[in-house]
This record gives sequence, structure tokens and C-alpha cells, in this order.
Amino acid sequence: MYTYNAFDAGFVRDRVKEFRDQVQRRLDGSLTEDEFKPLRLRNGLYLQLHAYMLRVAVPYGTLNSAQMRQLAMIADRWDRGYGHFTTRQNIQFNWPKLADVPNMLEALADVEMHAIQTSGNCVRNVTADHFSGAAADEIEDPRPTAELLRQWSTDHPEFLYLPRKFKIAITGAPNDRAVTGAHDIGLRMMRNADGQPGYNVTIGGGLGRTPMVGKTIRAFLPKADLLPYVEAILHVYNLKGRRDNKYKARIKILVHETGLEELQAEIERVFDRIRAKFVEPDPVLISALEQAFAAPPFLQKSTSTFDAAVKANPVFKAFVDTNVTDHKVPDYGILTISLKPIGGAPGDATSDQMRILADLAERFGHDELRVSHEQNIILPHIHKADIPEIYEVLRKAGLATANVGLISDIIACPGMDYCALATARSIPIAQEISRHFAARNLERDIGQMKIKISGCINACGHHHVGHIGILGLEKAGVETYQITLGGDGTENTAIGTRAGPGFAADEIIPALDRLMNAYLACRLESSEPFIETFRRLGAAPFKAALYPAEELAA
Amino acid sequence: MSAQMSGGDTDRFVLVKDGGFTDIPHGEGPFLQLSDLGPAAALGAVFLDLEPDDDLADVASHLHRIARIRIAFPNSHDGRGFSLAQRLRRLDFQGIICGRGDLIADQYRLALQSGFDELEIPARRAERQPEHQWQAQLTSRAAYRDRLGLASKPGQHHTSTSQSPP
Repeated sequence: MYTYNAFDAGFVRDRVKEFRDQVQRRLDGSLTEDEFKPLRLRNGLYLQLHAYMLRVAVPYGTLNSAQMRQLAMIADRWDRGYGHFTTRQNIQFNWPKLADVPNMLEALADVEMHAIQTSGNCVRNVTADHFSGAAADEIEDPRPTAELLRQWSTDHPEFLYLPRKFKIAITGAPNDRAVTGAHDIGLRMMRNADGQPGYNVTIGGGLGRTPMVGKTIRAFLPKADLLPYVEAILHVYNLKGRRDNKYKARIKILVHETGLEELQAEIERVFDRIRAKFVEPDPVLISALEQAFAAPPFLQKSTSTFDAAVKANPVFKAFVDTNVTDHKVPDYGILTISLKPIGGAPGDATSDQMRILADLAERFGHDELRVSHEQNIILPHIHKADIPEIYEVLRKAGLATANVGLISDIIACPGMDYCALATARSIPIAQEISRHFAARNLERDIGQMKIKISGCINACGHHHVGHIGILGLEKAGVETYQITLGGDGTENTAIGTRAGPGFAADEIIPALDRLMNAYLACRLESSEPFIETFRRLGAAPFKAALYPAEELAA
Repeated sequence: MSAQMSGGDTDRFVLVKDGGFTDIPHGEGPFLQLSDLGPAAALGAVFLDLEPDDDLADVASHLHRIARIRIAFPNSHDGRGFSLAQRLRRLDFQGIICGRGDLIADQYRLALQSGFDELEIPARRAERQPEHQWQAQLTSRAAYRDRLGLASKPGQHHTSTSQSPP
């Protein structure tokens, strides 16, 4: 993975020093709160409902054991002993004190980490497929590109006061695990007919209150043109994006209001001008980037202990079935560790758990961990022979929940338990759902299911792309939950459609029960997942199940 | 520091140049608006005021005779001016670019890196954010765009971070 050289190390240190100075100037009155706000946001510092929140960048979700241990140390020393992994592959600390934040940033710099541009109206942390470099279906590892984009966008002087935040995601595999269609810019690595590497580029995807699927603006962009092209998109957006209404300021609204063709023509014009003056990055630097993400030296040993354990132990087999994905090396597996214990808060990990994960990565996983946008932790390179031993460690630590991809593997935003914007609670709903279906032993029967919960219309819980989306709102002082159906965050990106009137908090579980019973009754066979049954039959049978009284009345 | 700081004068501006405060030079101008430029416009040096939503496509053919362009910053959250300056430099504009309006000291560095030469800020801002805070922005520091080789090119206008404004 990428390691800092003297330049990167100097940059993050300078940045910590600068932020200390900015905090000081806020305190002495040189900066007003209004002026300070974008500066602190660009350093990851939010003001939440109860306290400040520090969002730390995990670039494209990749980190090593020393970094994970440092996150545990930070959680213990300056927070409450846990952290929350987010849908943008970052980690949030929910209880820091303002005066401690520069020291927390210094501790991050010690392990080549930072909180730069995890918030604010700038280019945010670039996210990537969490199986990068390991997946069997990958065309190319997207992380060298993601790192190049990170460097290009970091402190880019032209793009730090954009109309609104700007998110870029990249995948190197045809199976899109990075939800690129829901990003301001989505990049999908591909090769053209001549075998040249490049990207399919979409713009204007996004969730929030106006969910939209990204539209292709360049079917094939040669790899060498990436930075000038992205710079052209940002340049046009910075000048033309709306600044009169923050809810209409994302690039998706500009695409929608201007029309893709007109905007595309403008971007291409700017691109031609930029490219004419563009000096390609130093090839030595680029090849160093590629080298940094070279595959680790894979081990060769027998998988017989693994094969025997799968045969002998049905509980272990169940874990392998859900939590281990095919690796490009057949004797290896990609191990997903669920941060969705039954009844737990999705994405939370205690400092002890972080240290256990770090130890496992160091001992068995070529010292590499990933954070997925689905708020789980991944050990991307695990020899199958080691999985039984890892499983035992995880089991003792309460980290062996065998539910990846199932109904209890829920994405949920922090909701009203933490967030100042939230209109309803998210975490308790997720906890109830997972407890309910686990207790009835229905999880495996239901199979592949993505439930995503947002506690307000800003959609941080990605509910629009959940097979079942749950949106918590407040109506006349009471929490009410709207259900959307048929969303999809993969290469077949689809925005779910609202099923009907909302449900009270205590009506959600019975409603989901009716929905699941309807699905189980009408699927063709047990291998047909909910989303395919939904596509085959449409929303009607599911709406009927959700609103039985109306069916009777009709 | 040559500029006099008088607290009550809300309309007065101070020039930030080479990291220091100075009075805005007299006798320049008049500043034209974009709509004043046209084939019939006066020959000779022109001073131009740009609003953030002006379309630079109309300016390109006039750039050779423009000595100084002032780009308005209506509020400190509005970053359009940075892109306008970049675009002007990409069009090979060789004159002075000045940002005018609601800018903070931390934006001085970004402005220089985006192609600005100097800034005009309200006198009240200059009182609250004294000269040394702007001077500090000139301190050379690591910049990824320099490192990637994106920020400087021979013959291009000063866009390097370490370089001070002319």
C-alpha cells in the first residue's frame, strides 16, 4: 500500500501546524465562526448535536495494522473508546474536545494519516472498491488512480470553495462495489477495443433529497487524460454550480438543469484548453504509485485444514459462506468482518476490537485492512489455511457475526443519536431489525438483502439504493419511517421508489415481516434474491403486503 | 505598513500585495464592466471589473489590451473567483489580476496559486486580520500540485506556490 515519503509527511505536519494556528485565530477573534467553519470542516471537524465530531480519512478505505492501532489509541485517549466507520470508508470519533483536536491530528500524522477534506465544500476522500487488488473479477487495481486523485485534489487552490461537497468513487471491476453511480464523478476502469486502459466517466450521481443516477459523460477516457478531464469538470462546476440554495448546489442539479449535452460540450471545451497546457505528472512518480499497490507475496501452502473445517463445522461453514469472497488467487479468500453484530450499532468498533483486527492483519493478512462503504472491515488477502484460526479469534472477540450481505448487514447513518441534521433515529431501528430476523432464524432463508437506513432526507444511510430503504422523518413531533423498494447500488444502479405512507417506529418490524413473507411466498426458488423477485414482479405484491388494509378496501 | 487604518470608514479598501498592506493606487481606471468592452471601446490600456458570473468567452479577444482585472468576491464562501483567475491565466492573460471583496487571510495563498497578483480587502477586515496574518500565507510550504508537476510550466504565469507575487 501507499507509504508516505518526505513530501507527504511534511505536508501533513504543515497542515497540523496550520490548523493549530487557525484554531488560535478563531479563539482570538481574527476569524469569525462563519470564516472558520470551512477551515475546520476541511480538517474533518464537525459540530454535531452533542459535541464536535472528527472525521478521519481512510483514503480509498485502505489502512495497515499500525494505523488501525493508532485509531484505537486515539479512541481511548481522546474519545470514548470506540470509533464509527462510515459509508465513505472513513472513521468518525464522536466525542473529541476542540482543544484536543490538533493533538489528535498530530497523532494521525505519526502514522501517515490525516482528516483533510473529509468534510466541507471541496473534493472529498476518494472512495474505491473495498476488494481492490484482491477481487477475482478485477480488470485493474483502482487505487493508484485513487491515490493520484487524492494528491491532485488535496489543497487544490481552485477547488476549496466549491458550491457544495464533491465526491469521487472509482472501481476497477465490472461488478461495481463502490456505488460509483451515486457519486458526483464515478469512474469505472475499462479497456477500449485496442486494449488501452481508461475509464468510463459518469457525473451527477448522488443521493440526498434529490437522488439521481450518474450519467455517462465520457464512455472511454484514456488514462493519461484523467487529471485534465476531472479538472475541467470541477472548473465548470465551480463556475456554474448553483450557489443560491445549498440543496440545489450539487453537480447533479447542474446536470439536470443545464442538460447533459450542453454541459458536456462546455466541459470538453475547457478540457481541450487545460490539456493544451497540461504537464503530465512525473512518470517516475506515477510508476512509484503503481508499485505501491503491487500485490503482496502470496503464500503457498495446503488448504486442507480449511477444507476439513468447512466439512466438519456447519457454523464455520455458514461464516465462510457469507463472509469469505473469492480472491484472485484461488487458495486465498477475501475475509469480511461484520461490524453489524446482532443488536449492535452498525459500523461501530471498540478500541479493543480495532487492536484485534490490527493483530490479525499483521499476523495473517499481509498487514492490510480495508473499510467498506457498507461499514464493515475487510482483510483482503487471507490464505484459506488461516481462516479457521482467524475465525476462532474473531468469535472470542464478538466479531464473527456471519451476516455479510444478509438482512442484518444494515447500513445506517448515525441518526438522531448523534447528528444535528437528523429528524429520526436510525441506529435503534437497525438494531431492532437485526434482532428480530436473527431471533426468528430467517436471515439465511431470506438471503441476499440490503437494508439501508437514513435518519433524514440527506440520505447518509444510502436508503435510496437499498433493496429496502428506510427513511426516518419527523411528522408533527413523531418519528415516521418511509419505505422505499427496489434500490440498487451496483453497476445496475437504481433509485428505490417509495412504497406508500410512512410507518411509526413500532410499526416498522411488522411491516418488514409482511414484506418478507410476501417475498418468501412469491420467489421462484430459494436462490432468487429479493431484488430479482422485485424486478420480476414489480412493486405491486410488496405494496399489497405493506398496506393490507388498502388492499381490502380496493 | 503604509495604509492608514480608520475604523469608521466602511467603504475603504486596502491593497494586499507582496504580503503587505498598502494603499490602493490612485489614478488607475476607470474600471469598465464586461458589457463596456466591444469593438468600439477605447484603445489603450483598459481596466476591467469582473463579476463572478461573467462569461469570459466575451473577454478573450480583448485580453491583450487589458492592464488590470479586478474580480469580485461577494462573500468568503464563494470560490468562483479562483476559477476565473485560472481561466484568465490559461488564456495567457499577462496583466495584473486582483481579487476584491470579502476574502480572508487564509484565501490569500489560494489566490496567489490560482493566478492572482494581489487582493483588495475592506479596511475593517484588515484591522481584524492584521498584516502578519497575510504575510504568513507567503511562507513556502509543500503543495501536491507542485509535486505532481501540475502547478508550473515554463512560460506559464506564476502559479507556483513558493513563488512570491511580482
